[in-house]
Amino acid sequence: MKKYKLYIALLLIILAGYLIQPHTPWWSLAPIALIIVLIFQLSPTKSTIAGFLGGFILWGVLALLQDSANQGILSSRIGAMLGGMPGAAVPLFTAVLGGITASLGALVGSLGRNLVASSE
Amino acid sequence: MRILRFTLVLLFTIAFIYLANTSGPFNSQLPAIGSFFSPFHGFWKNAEKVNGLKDESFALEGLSAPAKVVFDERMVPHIFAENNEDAFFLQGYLHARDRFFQMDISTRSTAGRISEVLGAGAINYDKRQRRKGLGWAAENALSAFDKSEEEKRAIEAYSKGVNAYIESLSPEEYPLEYKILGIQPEAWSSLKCAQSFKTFANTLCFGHDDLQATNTRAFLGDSLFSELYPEHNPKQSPIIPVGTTFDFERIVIDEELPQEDLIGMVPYRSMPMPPPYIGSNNWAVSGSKTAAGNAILCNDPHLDLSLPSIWYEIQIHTPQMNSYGVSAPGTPGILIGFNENIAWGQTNVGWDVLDWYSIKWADDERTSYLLDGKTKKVTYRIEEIYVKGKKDPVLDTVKYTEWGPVSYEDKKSGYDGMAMRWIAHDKPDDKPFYEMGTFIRLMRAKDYDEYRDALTGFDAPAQNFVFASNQGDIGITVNGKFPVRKDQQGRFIQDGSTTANAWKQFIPKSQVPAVKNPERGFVSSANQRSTDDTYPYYYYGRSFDDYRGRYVNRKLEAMQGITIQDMMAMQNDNYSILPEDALPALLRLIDKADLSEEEEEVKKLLKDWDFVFDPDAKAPAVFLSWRREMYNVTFDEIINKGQEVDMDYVENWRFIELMQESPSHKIFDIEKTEQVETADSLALKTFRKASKEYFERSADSRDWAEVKGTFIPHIGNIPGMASKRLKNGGYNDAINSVKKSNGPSWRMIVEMSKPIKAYGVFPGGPSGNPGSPYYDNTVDQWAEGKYYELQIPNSPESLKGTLFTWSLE
Repeated sequence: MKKYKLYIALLLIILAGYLIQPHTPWWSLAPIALIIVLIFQLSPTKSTIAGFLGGFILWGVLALLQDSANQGILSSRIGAMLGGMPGAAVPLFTAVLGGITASLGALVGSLGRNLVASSE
Repeated sequence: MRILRFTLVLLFTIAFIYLANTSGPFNSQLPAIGSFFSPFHGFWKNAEKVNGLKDESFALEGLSAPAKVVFDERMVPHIFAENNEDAFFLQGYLHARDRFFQMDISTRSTAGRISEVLGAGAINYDKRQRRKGLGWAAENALSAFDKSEEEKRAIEAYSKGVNAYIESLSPEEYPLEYKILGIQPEAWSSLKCAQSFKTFANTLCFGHDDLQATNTRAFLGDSLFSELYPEHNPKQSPIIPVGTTFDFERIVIDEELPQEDLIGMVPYRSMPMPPPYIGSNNWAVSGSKTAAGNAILCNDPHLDLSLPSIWYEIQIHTPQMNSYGVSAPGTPGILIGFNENIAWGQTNVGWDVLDWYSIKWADDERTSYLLDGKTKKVTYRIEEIYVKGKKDPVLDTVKYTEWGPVSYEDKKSGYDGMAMRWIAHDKPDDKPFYEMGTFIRLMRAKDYDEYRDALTGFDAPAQNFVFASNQGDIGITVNGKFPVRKDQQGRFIQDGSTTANAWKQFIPKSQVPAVKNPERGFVSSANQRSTDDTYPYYYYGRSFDDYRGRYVNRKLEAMQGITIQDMMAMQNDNYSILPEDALPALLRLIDKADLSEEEEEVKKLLKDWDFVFDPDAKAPAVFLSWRREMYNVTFDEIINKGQEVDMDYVENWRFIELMQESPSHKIFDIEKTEQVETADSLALKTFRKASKEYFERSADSRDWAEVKGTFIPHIGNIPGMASKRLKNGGYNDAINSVKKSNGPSWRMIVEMSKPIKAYGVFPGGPSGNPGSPYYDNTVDQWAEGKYYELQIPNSPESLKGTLFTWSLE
């Protein structure tokens, strides 16, 4: 069970994000990841990995799906607006932002838990 | 150590979220990237599914009866409603769905509220809009619309429709631009409809040159001024055919104008004006000149091109009307279009309807002014300009006089207070209906008389309304509210201390220039002078067209057996009379000159040119740079003075005439040199410069399309949202008046057969969403000079090629 903790946390971040984010601000991804790593008591390294991959996959896959349904019309315009980023890089950039947001939340959670655990 | 690590990571996380949640971080133009990129909140929500549009049934609160909207292959909506209010409600709903940002930004721009969305950089722009009195003008217009029951109901229904859509949106559904700028849409209102309509007045009838002409006359002296700046070009071919009689008793104002004693330089800069090339073409040919025997009407208004377009195509079908054409997001109704019986179109009139009056203050605090020897108090309008990111508004107190707002105040100059008298400000006289009523009536008009009646409600911006019917009538009316002027009145700044200078009366609508079924078998307009000198009223305009009108009339005169295809070719005609006039005059001046081999090559290129501004033509670029250089050295003294104060510039036609008729005129002499220059010596010098410039260009950048560089920008100039560069032809003074980002904003051709046949195209698409496949789907077709067939079905079922349908209740 312990072996799979990382993967389960990762899946839960994706799932919870998918269900909760439509009703909350964009940065809710950070507290979602925070809570999930707390529940699973992941180490800071594993938390960062779970958070980053979770956020990356959630935002990246959704961006890719919306981009392909739109046949890349908007992503190429947004890329051009942001100083000539190729359209195909826009979903990737989205994924990285999602990854950073969730990983930061996860790391805060994990470090915070360590803090409380050590003071006990 | 752990505490430090935790604290650092926590602080970093908070800072990251804070920054990514901030719109325009570090004074950049960046959106708040967190929410902007979030696939749940940001721009991805605006990425519309291609081929994802489906039939829908839904209820809309505000509709009085079930209605249908069918969308054709290009996603143009066709509204089928049980009454006019429901139709205008749905028009408002559709405009908001497709164009809300455009409506919002253009009304904010007119009302001087851009700082609210763009920040402190726009404060001066906003002040200027308010000092123009545009907000006041919109309030005055609305007070009139409200007096006419039908218009009031149409505007209210339209506004309700807009709000029904806006209120249905959650933030993730906001139009893309709101997410980029980090702002919220605000509710629509009847006042915004009036502001939206005043946007047209600001674009089309704000042009004036009183200040410039006053300066130029003071600089050159009366005699040189009148020689270089004749009031109008005798070569123009007027809108109302020469020989038409004006059979009416004109209004005469006996009072003499007082002697002008104000001549002197105005040291401050005037407000920016609409570009001088705002123009349009329209014409109608009678059945006697067409192949099928039906009248044909054509119109192409030249305006700033943008994505989304200024126009929105729509059909409105109710038991009272069935009309198709282009509407302007922000106002109800159809502005240029047709119904089953008649078609109408517009071009801008261009008469001067804005005068400046110099105020004589009665006290040092400038709280009162002198008028006919009496002291009058000013009234105040306090303008509150809210600025994005700031709580308190910037205040600007604008003084109002009997003339209008005191737009300029400058204690240092002799013109310490200049008041604007502008027709677009006027609270309309009591009439049965006003501008919105005009369009509602045109949409349902059946014949010429109903068309003329509809125009009586329309005051400003004055338009040349062209007309054709399936009864075989054609006509054109120079329609608007025009002051009865004394000779020359309004060309220069006037003394605002005497009412003798005021506009006393207006030309009755029955006496505006108009013609029905002229013998020549066609009517036309291209912003040129309305009439010849036999028209009984004095009028003046600084920007009357000199070339397109002559060419349109020359073409139509010669044409017989006209077909729709002929009309399409004519709307896309790239020939211009400007080089036809100017180039032989220029070439004659260098006729005997010794030229190098390369210069001979350029000369031959120009000599062989057919005056057509086609995309791959090489001559236009050389011709235009030669003309520009020659102009600049000819009028160098005036242009240099223009660095200090605002000046009027000599018109092209007069410049050409001077080269043809008086090549030794003193204006060709450059005063600062010792020798005496003439047109010949200047022409050679500037020709050499232009040829050198030509050879400096790489071979593939000499094509006219490359030099012109047409593209269509986003309406808010957001980078990445513009069209690609287009390889089309056209020129300012050609019928196909395509400039860099201005030109035929809608091309329409209507044959008055039964049933009617109509074609049209504009560069853009119905949707204002850069993430929609319908944002720019008609740009290429437009650039290639191709058209779409326009359908005006009688029922939702008879529309060909339905994309999807809304069933509404």
